[in-house]
Amino acid sequence: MKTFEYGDNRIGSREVAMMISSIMIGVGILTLPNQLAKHINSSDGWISIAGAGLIAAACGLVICRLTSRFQGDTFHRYTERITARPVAILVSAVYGVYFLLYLSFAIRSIARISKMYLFDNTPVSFISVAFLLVVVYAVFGTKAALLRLNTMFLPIVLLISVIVMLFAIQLADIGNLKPFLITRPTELLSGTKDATYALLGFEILLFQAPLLRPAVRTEKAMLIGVAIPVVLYLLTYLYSIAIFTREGTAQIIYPTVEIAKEVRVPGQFFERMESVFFTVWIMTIFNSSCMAMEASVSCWRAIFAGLNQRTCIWIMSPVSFTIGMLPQNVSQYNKLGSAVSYIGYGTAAIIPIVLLATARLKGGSRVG
Amino acid sequence: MALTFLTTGCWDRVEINNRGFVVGVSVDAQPAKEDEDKSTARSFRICYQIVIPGAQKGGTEGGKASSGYSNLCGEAVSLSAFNQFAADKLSRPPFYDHLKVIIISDRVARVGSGFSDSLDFFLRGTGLRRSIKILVAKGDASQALNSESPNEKLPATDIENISGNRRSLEKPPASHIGYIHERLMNETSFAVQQLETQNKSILVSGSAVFDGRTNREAGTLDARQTAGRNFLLGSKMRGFITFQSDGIRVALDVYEIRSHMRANVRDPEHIVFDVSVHARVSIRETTGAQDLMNTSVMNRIQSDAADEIESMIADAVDKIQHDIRKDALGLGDYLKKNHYHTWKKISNDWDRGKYMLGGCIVKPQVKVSVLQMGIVDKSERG
Repeated sequence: MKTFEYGDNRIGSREVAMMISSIMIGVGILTLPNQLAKHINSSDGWISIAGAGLIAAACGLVICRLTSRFQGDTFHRYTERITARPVAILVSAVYGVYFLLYLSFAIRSIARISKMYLFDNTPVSFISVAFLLVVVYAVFGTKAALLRLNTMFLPIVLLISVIVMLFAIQLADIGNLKPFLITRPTELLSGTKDATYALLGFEILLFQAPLLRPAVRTEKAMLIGVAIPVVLYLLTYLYSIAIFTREGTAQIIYPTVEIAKEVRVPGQFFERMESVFFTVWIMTIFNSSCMAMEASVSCWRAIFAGLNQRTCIWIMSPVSFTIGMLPQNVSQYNKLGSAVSYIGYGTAAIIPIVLLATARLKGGSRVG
Repeated sequence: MALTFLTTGCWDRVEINNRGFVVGVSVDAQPAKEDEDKSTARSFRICYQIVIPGAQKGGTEGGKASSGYSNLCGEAVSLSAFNQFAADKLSRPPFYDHLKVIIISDRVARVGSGFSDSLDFFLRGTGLRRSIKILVAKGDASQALNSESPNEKLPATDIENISGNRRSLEKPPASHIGYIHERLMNETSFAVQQLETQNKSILVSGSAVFDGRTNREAGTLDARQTAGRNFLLGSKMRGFITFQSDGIRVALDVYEIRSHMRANVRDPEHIVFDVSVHARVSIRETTGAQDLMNTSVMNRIQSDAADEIESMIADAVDKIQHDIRKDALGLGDYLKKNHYHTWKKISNDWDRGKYMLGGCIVKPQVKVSVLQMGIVDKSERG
């Protein structure tokens, strides 16, 4: 496959913000309102989403600190410098496995939902293969090209989401949001847990940091990047409560798709808004999958120094496909999802915090 | 690998010619046979209205008068079983994405969980909209699908249009399947449009009240009570009310209803709901020669109209409180949204248990403003 070389392979703060938003907006947006509505009374789930957003922003800032401390260096190398070589290999392997599982889960989800709504007869495995092959094709290119793809897709995604929400105003009944503030704090906390699942992925910055142009302020970009999905999730959640009521949302498995289905934009073509919505939603999943795969590749290549990028992709794709096809039923599929999320807590929060703390304590190894 | 790509086409490709578009569904109860055990699954008599695309166009060219649709009826224990039956029976398997109305007979709706059971199939389907309209038929539901309409080729379209228009106060706003699903989950009672077929012509008027907890039809509101309920809830419906004012008959066209509810929950046994209703109307028809420009005449009409609306509301409330005994007036819903702590205490005794709904008092305060009186002042000389 031919690759196109950009004159400039570096990224600025805008790309960082878009990259973070793109990987965060994923499968979660479809199910989040449903999961929140199951635990949380009325429309109080917004507190959980906002709380999860704050946690994500805080962890994101830790990651920014880490990358700016070791500017221009790859994750594997500075982990090695902070700790020791075996630890660095272990950490990279954790990330490698995590992103591989993330990819598997994403392709399984996309196949599942596409089958449910679009392809009644096509086998799940076939949809997955088709999707995976496109992802593989994208990952064959350069890192910078992938990131530029994000900057191209994300505005389209946001635009369609805004259109869907604008036309959904007529369906929404603000009265359904009442009563306010009646949920116990413990329930809100469990909602926050659900919401953080949907906000994982910002740790991708760790692996793209070497591409940054010198002197880029990542903190602001990180905050913007986290804010976009949080706002999108908040709006989606409030809309589904206002349209379907809390009890209805708790029973609709993909409330976001149902909103898109209900929306009627004037004009025959747009009456079926969900087809447009599906297109853009597949684009976002495509972005997250590409970046996850790309991050995983870079982890494995850091561990096995001589590994060629293409060889690595060829090894990874059947593995991730197989893992994606392992769940035999809905509950196993959900287990895969929660496994990914639990590892995600480690990779997004615990590992970066520990690394930064160790680096601070050591102090002396400060570079640039 | 290459071969797989060459040999597979689009897996899910179904030509539009091979789809049997189902536009309407009716569900009737099967008359119980004597030897049948009551406890086992009761079967439904189901009809699908299926579009015949060719016939719809061909009808205009003269020739054979073809109806453009065909109804497929049969007995089945479940909707899925009937789907199977339809696939066996028709060369074009049923396709539900364009389903418009589901009509359920009150004989199904009144017993067991027939109502929610028959909707489940349609709620789960992915191509189906949550805005499919649900109506309850008095008596035989399948007759509605055989009705004749001068305007529409398809009875289902006819029913959908009638159900969807907001030009009558005597029916509740169209009840979508999604709305009903939400009510069933909320366990709040609700009202569904009622349909009647006589001599192959349908009439949508009145409402069937459902108990959100047992999913059963609990009773019906007649046209006048339904109008009262619409006033009470401030439904976005418009229509006519006719009443006597000072010996003359006046008909008002109601443009807009606004209602605002306030509750006094100091005494949970006797919650007082103050409902202020504001109706904007225009005068559409009068008998006799009244000088409508005269302020006192106008004031009289306005206050008589308000009295009439208040009595309609009182009618509806009375029927709900003392006959149907299920809260389809949104009172409990209001308490839940605005007096959550009180509601938590009484929700189990609201329209069941101690039946506190019976003790509550609804005080309507109606204000009518006449905005227009048509384009002539008088049409008769007195």
